[in-house]
Amino acid sequence: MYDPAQDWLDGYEISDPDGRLVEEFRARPMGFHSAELQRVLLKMQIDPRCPNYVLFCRTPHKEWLIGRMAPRAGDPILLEEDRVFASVEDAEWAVFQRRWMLLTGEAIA
Amino acid sequence: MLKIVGYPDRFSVRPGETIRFMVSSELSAPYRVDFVRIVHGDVNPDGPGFKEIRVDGPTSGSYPSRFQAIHPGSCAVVADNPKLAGLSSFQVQAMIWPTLPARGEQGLIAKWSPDRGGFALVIDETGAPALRVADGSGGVNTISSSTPLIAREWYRIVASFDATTNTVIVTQLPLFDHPLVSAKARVEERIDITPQLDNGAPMTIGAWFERAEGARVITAGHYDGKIDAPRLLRRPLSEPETEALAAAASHHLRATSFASPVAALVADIVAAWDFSQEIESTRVCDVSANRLDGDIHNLPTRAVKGHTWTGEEMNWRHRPEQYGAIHFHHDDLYDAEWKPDFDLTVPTDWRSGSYAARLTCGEYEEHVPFFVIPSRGKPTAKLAFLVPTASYMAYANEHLLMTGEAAAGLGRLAVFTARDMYVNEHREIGYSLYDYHADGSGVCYSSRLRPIINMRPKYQFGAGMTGSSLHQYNADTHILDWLEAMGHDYDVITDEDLHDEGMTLLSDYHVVMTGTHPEYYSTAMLDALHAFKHQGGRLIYMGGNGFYWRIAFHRDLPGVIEVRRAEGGIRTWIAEPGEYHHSFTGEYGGMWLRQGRPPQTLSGVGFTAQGFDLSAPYKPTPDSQDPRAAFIFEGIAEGALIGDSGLVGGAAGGFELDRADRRHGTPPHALVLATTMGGHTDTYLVVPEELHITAANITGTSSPLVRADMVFFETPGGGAVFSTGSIAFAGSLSPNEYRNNASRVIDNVVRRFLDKTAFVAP
Repeated sequence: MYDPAQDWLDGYEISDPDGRLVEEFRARPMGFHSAELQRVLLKMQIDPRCPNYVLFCRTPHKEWLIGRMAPRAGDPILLEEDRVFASVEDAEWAVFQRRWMLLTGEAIA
Repeated sequence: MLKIVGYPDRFSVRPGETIRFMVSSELSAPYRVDFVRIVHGDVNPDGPGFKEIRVDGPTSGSYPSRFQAIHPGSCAVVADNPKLAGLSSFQVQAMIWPTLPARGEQGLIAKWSPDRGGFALVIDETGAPALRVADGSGGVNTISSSTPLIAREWYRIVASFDATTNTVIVTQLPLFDHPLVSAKARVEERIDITPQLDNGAPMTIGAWFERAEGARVITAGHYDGKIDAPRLLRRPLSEPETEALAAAASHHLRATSFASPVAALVADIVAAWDFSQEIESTRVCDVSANRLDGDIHNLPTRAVKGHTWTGEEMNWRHRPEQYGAIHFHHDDLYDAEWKPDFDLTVPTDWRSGSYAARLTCGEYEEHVPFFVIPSRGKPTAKLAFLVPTASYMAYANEHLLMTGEAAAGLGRLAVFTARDMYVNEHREIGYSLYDYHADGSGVCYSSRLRPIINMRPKYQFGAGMTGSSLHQYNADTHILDWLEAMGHDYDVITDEDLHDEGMTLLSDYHVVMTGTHPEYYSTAMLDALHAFKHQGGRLIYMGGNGFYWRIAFHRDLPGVIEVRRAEGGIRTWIAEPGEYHHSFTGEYGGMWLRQGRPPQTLSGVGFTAQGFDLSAPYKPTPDSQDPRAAFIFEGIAEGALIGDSGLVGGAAGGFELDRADRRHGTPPHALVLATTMGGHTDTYLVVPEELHITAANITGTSSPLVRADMVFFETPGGGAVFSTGSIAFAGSLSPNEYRNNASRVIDNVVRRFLDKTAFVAP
């Protein structure tokens, strides 16, 4: 049976000509966000082009890695062990950068 | 990754009683066992730090490592019997509703021994029903219908062997025949072997027999889906006879003098299992005169709709014959059934408290928690901390965050640890009440007779707010630590004790203090707390989203609860239509709110919103000025925020939030002392049971329903209730060496509540 949802893409398009949204996220990855940044973050969570990123806390309150859930339930989380983050906020920013690149084609530093 | 895991045979134990521990170690070296009292399980360097106190236990010491396997997968097992073993010809039939027919070979009904022959009606590798027969001397034949089953459709499957002609017939008949879909099949084949049913193996339904380990039956080939009305006959029936038998009700299968449309066939019936009988038990009943009753293993789901359900009846107790199915899952687990490795008879000089057996081997460490409750009728304190063990069981080995759907609701990234990795990769340890089985059906049973990897000190929860990121067991250690730091004597008691003993357990206490998230309540538990409140008791509700779901405990099996996610609420899965009543008790399941007993009637507040990033402080309301509340705010500057710092989300109001609501039963004289309204981010969303139509204003900044209310009210008999209405609150007790407004408020409440002077209702 054909499932139309398989072709779905989030209709929202990211636009941030003056870099305001990027700066807002970088300054505060978690907490109160403007309505427009919230929409960007929602897109990043639901757009099928973005992998299911997670964080892995290797040492409590000290070290975090970026990971991706494997497509099949029960398979190991795919960890990127070569880059260790010193805070959740730093790791959130790194994932934001990747998702931004995936969805806009633009690199942000 | 974990290398040593374990579980106890009970959660609560009294001095002088014995608790047993089951351990599996993947290591070769012996491990050391120490007993510790858990005070503070939070390893956040911004807080008081991890605190455990080693206590002398008579069985502390070194124990050899050994690996113990878990065998998940449910089935029914009927002991071998001459009536089964003596069969030469036979016919086996059942109604089935497969849910994962393409998953690989699965046993439907079998009397099979891997090396001594038998038969197994299976779903084969192609997803089609097949009869496998073996002669016990190496000869095996498999006759498949070669027509794959369609998932979630009812079929009648019939397979027979005629010893006089050595012929096997396999038929499948869909109950509903979809146009253009070829789902019927009939194959007939002569075989060159004779099935050997005198094989020493039990009859199994939903799996096949693999081996015996002592008295324990190990099964394999577990099936996903429902089976209804399985029947075994001593000869192949003609098609009209099969049709008549399939249409016959189970009471027609008994040899009586009453009229039966299948009277002529009754003598040919070897067994006819009617799963609608004794649903609350572990028995499967054979209604034939042979009474080949059996037992279920690993708790398949009962009280599910059978193939005769009409949609007119929603309560299985009213029409049990329409609930003749059992839903088996290859990933069901009730009891890991490990062998005990050590035990502990609790010394009489141990104080009541939260304890753990600490297992260490080199770099590996595991805590196996348990709770020492006071001797019966001999409390050692006036305050009881009620450990929400039912809620710990509900969340046991939760996998929800490992799905993208749940993670998208967080507003940030889930943060996993090595424990979550273990839970993800070791599916054999079973699921929580938040999870789906592999076949997409909701998990409605959860037991504690298995390692619970996320109910441990030091555990950090993947969606537990910024900061400490705790949940349930480990979050509740914030309260234990505070009680100790403030010098308040306390006993611990657990949900299962409350369920078993009711108000008797509480009657000697002045104060009952809850955990941070006492969400799952049986009727007996809720009745006991209401009785306590109405008989002068003082209740301090230290959490959020409490008293929310109705659960049932099993009549015969210890340590297992059931939830039916009916009607409303935050439901990670939704109970099927017609399946809202617990199989364990027949009670209507779901939220207490939908059963006329909203949480507000007990604690003054009830679940209203949840979010997973930051917490907000409480602002005092005009009610805080009421003289009745003066004792609560003693020592706190007028208008000062309550809980403006904290380990869980940075403040006291966060994670899951409760609000007062007259319509939901908050007493009319209740004081709403403070609220977090207006302080929450837009990741906080109103709970779905409050959304009557879909609307956009359901977020932290757009809805007045997103708030935690702090509430106080007096009760009949001189008692009182104080509620924080927030899971995060306990994380705000320890900042500044426990000298802060949140700590002061709770301390004021505890001190006044311990004072027996009656509260006078306004």
